[in-house]
Amino acid sequence: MDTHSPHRRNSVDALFAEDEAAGIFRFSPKVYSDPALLRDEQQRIFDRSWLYTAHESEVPNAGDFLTRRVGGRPLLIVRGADGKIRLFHNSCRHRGAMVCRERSGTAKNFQCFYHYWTYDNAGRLIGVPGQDSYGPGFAQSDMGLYAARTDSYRGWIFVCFSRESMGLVDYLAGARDLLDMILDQDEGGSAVLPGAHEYSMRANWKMLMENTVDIYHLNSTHSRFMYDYLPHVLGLTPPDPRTANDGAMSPKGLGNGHAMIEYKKFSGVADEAKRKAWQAKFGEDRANRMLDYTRTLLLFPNTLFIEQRRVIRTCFPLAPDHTEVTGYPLMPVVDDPAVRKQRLDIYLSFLGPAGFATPDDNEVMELIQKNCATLPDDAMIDCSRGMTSPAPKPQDEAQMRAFWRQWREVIGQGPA
Amino acid sequence: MLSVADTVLLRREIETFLYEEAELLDSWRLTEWAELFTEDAISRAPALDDAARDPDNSIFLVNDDLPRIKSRARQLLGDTAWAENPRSQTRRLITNVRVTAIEGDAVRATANFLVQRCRMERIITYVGQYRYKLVRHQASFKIAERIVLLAQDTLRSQGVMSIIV
Repeated sequence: MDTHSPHRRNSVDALFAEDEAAGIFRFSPKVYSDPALLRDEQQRIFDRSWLYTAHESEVPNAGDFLTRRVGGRPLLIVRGADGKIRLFHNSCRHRGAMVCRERSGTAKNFQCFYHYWTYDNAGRLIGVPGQDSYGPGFAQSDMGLYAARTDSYRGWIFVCFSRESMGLVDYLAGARDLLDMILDQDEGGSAVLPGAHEYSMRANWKMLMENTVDIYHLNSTHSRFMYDYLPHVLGLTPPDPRTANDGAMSPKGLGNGHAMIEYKKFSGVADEAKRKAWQAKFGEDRANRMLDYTRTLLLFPNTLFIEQRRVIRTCFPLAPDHTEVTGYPLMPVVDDPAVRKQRLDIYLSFLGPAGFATPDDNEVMELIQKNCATLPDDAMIDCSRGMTSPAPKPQDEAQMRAFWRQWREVIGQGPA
Repeated sequence: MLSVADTVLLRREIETFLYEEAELLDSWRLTEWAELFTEDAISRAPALDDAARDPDNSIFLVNDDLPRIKSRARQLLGDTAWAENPRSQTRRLITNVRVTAIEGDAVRATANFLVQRCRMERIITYVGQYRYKLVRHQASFKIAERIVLLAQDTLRSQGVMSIIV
């Protein structure tokens, strides 16, 4: 039974060892490996949170559709003839077969091949062969595709599988301001380009959330990127990790488990005309932060945006030790072709199944997973960096602790 | 227009070249492998859902020019390409070699491949088609284009592609 109990709260809290004064934050390796916790995550996190699904630019015209598995569920995302974007469970209302089996395209209608029930691109059931065999209680108008709760923020489409959860804007909390700061830089709007990287790792999904906001590992795990690719291909001096982020804002939680890190741009100085214009538009401090620093935003539970590389990254657990990862390139709509080429290179050189960094991240997370499945429950994982510092640095772990505190809270509580 | 005999001979030459290239990759002689490319070479693996896209307006899996080809080889031979340290054992089966066009000094050819990779008790396979543009160089060829078309819809089952496929 999924009921609220102090016992449950205690058993989840017991996975953590936290001592604020001593600067200690640790958790049991069980959080990465316990199948019972994965079931809890499905019910308490993925079935109740707002999950990034798609970008409006991926369905620009009437009839454009995508099929995508989000939070473990097959969805149909379609822009209707009326221009409105809707999300449906990709399941025929008759017997439950998947209605649309294409990855993307443009369609007026969707037909289930089992018995040819047909839906229009607003999800209405418009064709049932042999309809005269149904009784008076059968109303075709009741049998449109089952809609999922959706909302969008500045082109980012989210889904929430609970009708009870708070609305999207409340859910985004302080992350909204960071998203604004990122998206305001694309003055002509932003769009997801084709070529999403769809890969996987034999490791727990939460490791990816931590790894993506981990600056501390750049010079070790990504040594080959920093000390071969940067200097020998791009002609850049790798930043000194001791001083690289002096002056950067401290990493922080943004409410509801969202978190951010901000760090100095590797290279490139903004032109003064742009700086002046942005200072006038956004205020001096904000404009300087936008131009001189770059951010990685963690949206609880399973979405990340790495501003420097312009990737929207999402993940979903197939098992405690198996995670699907997808990276979508989000680029400015209005872009100088030379700059666009550079952006794509910044993206591809680091990210993806054949990038110069992602395989090494996968490797380390898979090594952690192998240990976590077999370590004693009290062989705690450490996440304490910067905990007693009045101003934690990007290479500290405050951002991960924000994620974990929310996880602990949500997994520890009863049904909302 | 080549005679049948010349076409067979050319295909044999290309097969020999591809087998030698495969041996360099399987035996991790990556510095020599990188030397097979022309100065203006491209080495690409397009997105799996559409091989025909423009690499300047979409994301590929691999989009290397010569400096990146050389960097990739150096990185993999160094000791901090952690995903390949220790290294994978690989074997490539190359078949169905076809000459598809002759363009002056250059030959276009396709071949099917199956690359098996074994590392840390896990066996992973990559299957697909190579598309080459080869240019005459001394008694052999140099690679002007090397396109890897994987015959699969995602890389979910393999995880990543940390080796040169």
